[in-house]
Amino acid sequence: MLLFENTIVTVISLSTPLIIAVIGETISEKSGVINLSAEGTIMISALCGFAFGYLTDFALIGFITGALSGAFIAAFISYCDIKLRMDQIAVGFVLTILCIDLSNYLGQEYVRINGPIVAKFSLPLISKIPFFGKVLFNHSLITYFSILLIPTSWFFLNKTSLGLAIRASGENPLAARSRGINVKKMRLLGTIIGGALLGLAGATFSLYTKYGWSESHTANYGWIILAIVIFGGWNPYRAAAGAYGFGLLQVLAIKAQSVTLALSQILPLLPFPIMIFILIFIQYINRRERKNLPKFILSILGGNQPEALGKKLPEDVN
Amino acid sequence: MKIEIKNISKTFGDLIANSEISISINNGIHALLGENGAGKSTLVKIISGQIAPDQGEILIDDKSLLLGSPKQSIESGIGLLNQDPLDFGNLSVLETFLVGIKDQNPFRKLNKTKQSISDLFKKYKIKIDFSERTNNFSIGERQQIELLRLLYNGAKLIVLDEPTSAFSLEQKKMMFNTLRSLSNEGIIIIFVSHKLDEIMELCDSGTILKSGKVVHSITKPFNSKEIIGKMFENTDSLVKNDKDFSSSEYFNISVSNNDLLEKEKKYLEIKFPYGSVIGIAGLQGSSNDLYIKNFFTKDLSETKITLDSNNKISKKSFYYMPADRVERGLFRDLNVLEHFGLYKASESKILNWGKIKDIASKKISEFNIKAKFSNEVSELSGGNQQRLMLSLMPEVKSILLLEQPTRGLDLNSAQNIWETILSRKSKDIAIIFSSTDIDEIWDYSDIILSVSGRFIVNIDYKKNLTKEKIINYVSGIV
Amino acid sequence: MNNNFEKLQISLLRLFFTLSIIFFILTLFGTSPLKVFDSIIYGSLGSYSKLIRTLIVWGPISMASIALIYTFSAGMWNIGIEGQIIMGAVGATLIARSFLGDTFISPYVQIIFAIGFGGVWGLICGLLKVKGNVHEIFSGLGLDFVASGIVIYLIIGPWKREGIASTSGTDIFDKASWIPTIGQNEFPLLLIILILILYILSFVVLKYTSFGLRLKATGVNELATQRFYFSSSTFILLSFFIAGSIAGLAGFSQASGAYHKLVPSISGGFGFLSILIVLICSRNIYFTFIVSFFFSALIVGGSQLQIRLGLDHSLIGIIQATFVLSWLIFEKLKLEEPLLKKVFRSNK
Repeated sequence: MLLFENTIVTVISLSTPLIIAVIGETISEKSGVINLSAEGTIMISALCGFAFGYLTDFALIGFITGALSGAFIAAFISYCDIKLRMDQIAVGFVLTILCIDLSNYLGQEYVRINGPIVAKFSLPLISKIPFFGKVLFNHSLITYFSILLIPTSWFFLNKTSLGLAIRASGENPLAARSRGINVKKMRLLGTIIGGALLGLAGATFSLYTKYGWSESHTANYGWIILAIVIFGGWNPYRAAAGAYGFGLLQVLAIKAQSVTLALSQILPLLPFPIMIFILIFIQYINRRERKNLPKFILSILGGNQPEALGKKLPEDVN
Repeated sequence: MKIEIKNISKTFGDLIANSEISISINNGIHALLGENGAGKSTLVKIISGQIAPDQGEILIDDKSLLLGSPKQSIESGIGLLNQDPLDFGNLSVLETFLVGIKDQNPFRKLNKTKQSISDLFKKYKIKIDFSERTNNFSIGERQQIELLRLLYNGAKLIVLDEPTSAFSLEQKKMMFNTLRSLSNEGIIIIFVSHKLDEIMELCDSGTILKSGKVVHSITKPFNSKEIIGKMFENTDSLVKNDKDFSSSEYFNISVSNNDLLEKEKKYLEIKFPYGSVIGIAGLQGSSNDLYIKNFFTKDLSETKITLDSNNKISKKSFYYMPADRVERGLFRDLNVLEHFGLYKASESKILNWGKIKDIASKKISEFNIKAKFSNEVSELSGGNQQRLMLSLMPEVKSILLLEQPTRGLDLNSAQNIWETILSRKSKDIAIIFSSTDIDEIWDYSDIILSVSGRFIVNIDYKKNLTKEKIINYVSGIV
Repeated sequence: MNNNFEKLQISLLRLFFTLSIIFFILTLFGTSPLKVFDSIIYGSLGSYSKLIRTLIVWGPISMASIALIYTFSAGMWNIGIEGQIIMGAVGATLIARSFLGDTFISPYVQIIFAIGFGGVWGLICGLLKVKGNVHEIFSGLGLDFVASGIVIYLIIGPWKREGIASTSGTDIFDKASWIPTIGQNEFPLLLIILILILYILSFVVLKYTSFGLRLKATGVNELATQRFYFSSSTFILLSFFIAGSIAGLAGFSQASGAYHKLVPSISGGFGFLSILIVLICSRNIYFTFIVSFFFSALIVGGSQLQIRLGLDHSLIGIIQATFVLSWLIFEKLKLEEPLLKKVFRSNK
C-alpha cells in the first residue's frame, strides 16, 4: 500500500510541469494557434527560470521570468501568424531549433550549479487524512498550482464569455467576427496565455522537477506535450489525464531501471515513443472506425480539433 | 420597422458590383433576385456591415445606419443568415447561442438565459436539445437555430442569403412557416434566392438586380415568365449549333428512378448518337451541376453514362470541368505552363518543355487567355481561369463534362468558346454541359435535360421542346 | 533577363539584411562577428584536410535536404527525417559488421541496405498518413524516438564493443567498409559522386518528368488530381519512400564516412537542420546545393570556435536558426523591392 501511495505522490509531483504545459498549449490551440516551439520554449524558460532564480536566490522570480520568456516567444509567433501571415508550423519549428541552441549557449555558466529549491508545503491538518491527505496535500506550492490549474482552465474556457470568445475564434473566425468579436485579439490572447504557461512549466522543470541546468535539460518534453494535447482532445481534464499517464510511464521506467540494469539506458526514453504510439493508435482508430465504435468509447477517444487550428486567419477578418 | 436603401454603389477595381441601388421595404417578405454576378451578395454584405459602400446610405426607421461595421448592423437590428451556417460546429447549440449574445455576462445568469432561449424555441415550435454539438444537426436545423439566435439578439430585419440550398423538403416547410410567423409579427425579411418556385411561394414583393442595377420591382401575384425575362440577358447568339450529322455509334444515359420527379416513368435508358450536345438546364441552386459531377465521380446517384457497345468507359475518357475553378479544378500554386505540363503528363513520362510551351502558346491564343506562362493560377482573373480550364480539354475522343462553361465570361468570349466546343462534335462521344442560362441551353444543345431542385423533370430532343416549356420545367412547374 | 536579375538583386539585399541581424546578435553576445566568421571560414576551408571534413559533413546534409524537397513538394512535413537517417545508418552498420564487412563491395551493399532501411522507415509515415490520416509530424516524431531507441539498444546490446558496453558507439568498422576515398588526404570521391548523382537526377526528375510535376501538384487538391488522372495518395506515399531512401543514404554517409562506426547521435541533428535549409530554399535545387554547403561549412568551422575563441559550438546553431528565421521574415516583409526602387530612382 505504501508503495502504491508513494508511486502516486511521485507521479503527481513529477507531472507538475507537464500539467502546466499541456493546459497552456491546449488553450493556445483552442484559439487556433499551434505553438510548435514548445520544445524550445520550455528549454529556454527552464534556463531563464533557473538563472534568475539563482541570481536573485528567489524561486518566485525564477517562475515569473520563465513565464515571461514563454509569453514573449508566443507573442512573436502570434505576430508572425497574424500580421505577417506566416505558416505557424514553419515559424514554430525554426524557433524550436533557435531556442534550444540559445539555451545551450547562454546556459553554459549555469551548468551543475545549485540553485534555489522549491520546498514542500504540506497543508496543515488535511495532509493527515489517510491516503488522500497524504497523497494530495504533501506537495509543493507549484504542484498545488498545477492541480488547481486543471479545473480553473476548464472553467475559464467553458464558463466565461472570454473563454467562449477565444474558442469561437479558434473554431470559425468568420462567424466570430460577424458577431462582433475581435478575432485577432482573441488569438493573441490565447497564444500568449499558452506561451506563458509553457514558460512557467519550463521554469518548474529546472526549479522543482529536475533541479538545476544542464545541456538540453528538458529534452523531448516539448514534443511530448504537443502529442498529449491531441491525446487530450483539447480538453483540460483529458489532457491532464494524459500528462499523469505519461508521468506514470516515467516512474515505472525509473523503477524498472533498478531491476534490469541492462536496458537502463533505454528505459527513460521509452515513455516518449509509447505515448506517441498510443496517440497514433487512437488517431488511427478514430479516423478509420469512427462509425463502428459505440458512443461510450467515442466520448472517451473522440477529440474535437478546433476547426481553424493551424490555419491563417481569413483575409477579411479585420 | 422599415428599411430604405438609397443610392448604394460599390466598385471593386474595374468591376461595378452595385450601381445606385435604391430599395424601400416597409413590411413583409421581400425577394432579391438576380443572376450570378448581378450584385446581390455585395448588397447583402453592405447591409450586414461586412463591407462599406463607396457611396449611398441606408436608413433604418429613418435613422442613418453606420456602414461597414458588423457590430453596428447587429445593434441596429439587422441579422444575416448566410448560405453556409455561420455557426460553430464543435460547440454545443447553447454555446453557439452564447457567442456574441446581447446579454451582459450570460454565464452569471445561465439558467435564466437558458430559460429565455428555451421559451423562444417553444414559441416557434422547434425541438432541439441544447447540449448537443451543433454539427450533429442537419444544415436545415442549424439554419433554424441561427435564425432564432438572430431573433434573440433583437433582429428586426433578417436577410437570408440563399439559405435553402441544402434543405430537404421538410426543413424548407419548417423554415418557411417560421419565416411567415416572423413576418406576421412585423419583422422584415429579405430573401435572396434564385429559386423561382420558393420566391413565388414565400414572398410578398421583390426586386430584380441585373449587372449591379435595379431593373424591376415585382409584387404578388408573380408572373414567372416576366421575372425570368427580366433576370436573364436576351442574347441572340451568332454561333449556332446547326451541324447535322449522323453517327453510327451510340451511347446511353441511364437515369435512376430516384432522380426523376415523376416517378411513374420507369427506369429510363435513352440512346443518343456520338457527338450529341446535351444541355442540363436548371436554375441556380438546382442540382444540374451535380449531375455533371456525378457522371465523373459516380458517387452521388445511379444516373450514369454507358456505351452502347458495352465497353467500359475509362476515367481518361472523361474531361470534367467543375464550376469551382480554383478550389476543385486547378492547382492554386502551379503556374499556367505547369498546368499544360500536367495535361501532357498523363500521356508521357518525360516532359518536353519545348513542346509543352508550343501547345500552351497555341491554346492560349486559341482560347484568348490573358496570362503569361509564369502566372500562378491564383493571379488570374476568374474569366481567365475559366478559359484556362477549357483550354485543357484533351485532344482525344472524350466525354466532355462541363459545369457552367461560360460562367463569368463576356458575350464575345462565350461565343468564341462555344465555337471551339462545337467544332469537337465530330470528334467526341458526348458534350454534356450545365447552365443556368436558358438561352445558352437553347442555342447550343441537341438534347435538353431539365432539372428542378434535385430532380430530373424532363429529357427530350430540342425539336420537341420550346423555351417556355423548359422555363416551366426548371421552375418546378410541371 | 530583367526578371532574373531583379530577383538576384532582391536576394542579395535580403542576404545583407539577414547577415546584419546575425552580426547584431553576435555583438550582443559580446563576441566579435568578424572574428567569428573568420574562425568559421578558416576552420572549414582553411586547408585541404579541413575542406575534406566540410565535404564529409556536406554529404549527409545535402542528401537530407534533397530528400526533404520530395516530401515538401507533396506538401508534407517530414519531421521523421532524423529517424530515416538513423535507420539508414543502422542498415549500413548491419552490412559493415557482417561477413561482407571486410570485402571491397561492402560500401556498395551498405548503400543498398541504407536506402532500403531509410525508405521503409519513411514509408511507415506515409502509410499512417494516407491510410489513417495521422499527421505526419507525430508519426515522424514517434519514429524518430523509436529509431533513437533502436540505435542505443544496438550499441549497448548486440552490437556492443568487445568487452565494454559503452554509449560511445560500436567498434570501428573494418577499413574495407569505410567510404572509399582517394589519395593521402582521403578525398571522399564516392560521396561527391553520390551527391552529384542525387542532385542531377532529382533536378531532371522534378523538372522534366510527369512524376515530378504531379508530385508538385499533389498535396492540396484531391479532386483536381483526379481530373488529371492521378491520385494524391499514391504520390504522398512515393514522396515519403523516396525521401526516406535518400535520408537513409545520408545515414550511410554518416556511419561509413564520418564516424566509421555507429554512435547514438549518428544523425547529428542534420535532419532538422535540413528542414531549416529547405525552408529558405523553397524547393529550388540550385539554392539547396549551395546553401547546404554553406551550412556545412558553418558546422565544421564552428567546431573551431571553442578552441580559437572559447565559444560554445551551439553558437553555430544560433547563427543558422537566426539566419533562417530572419530570411523568412524578410521574405514576408518584402522591404527589398521598394527599397531598391527608391535607390535606383534616385540615381537616375
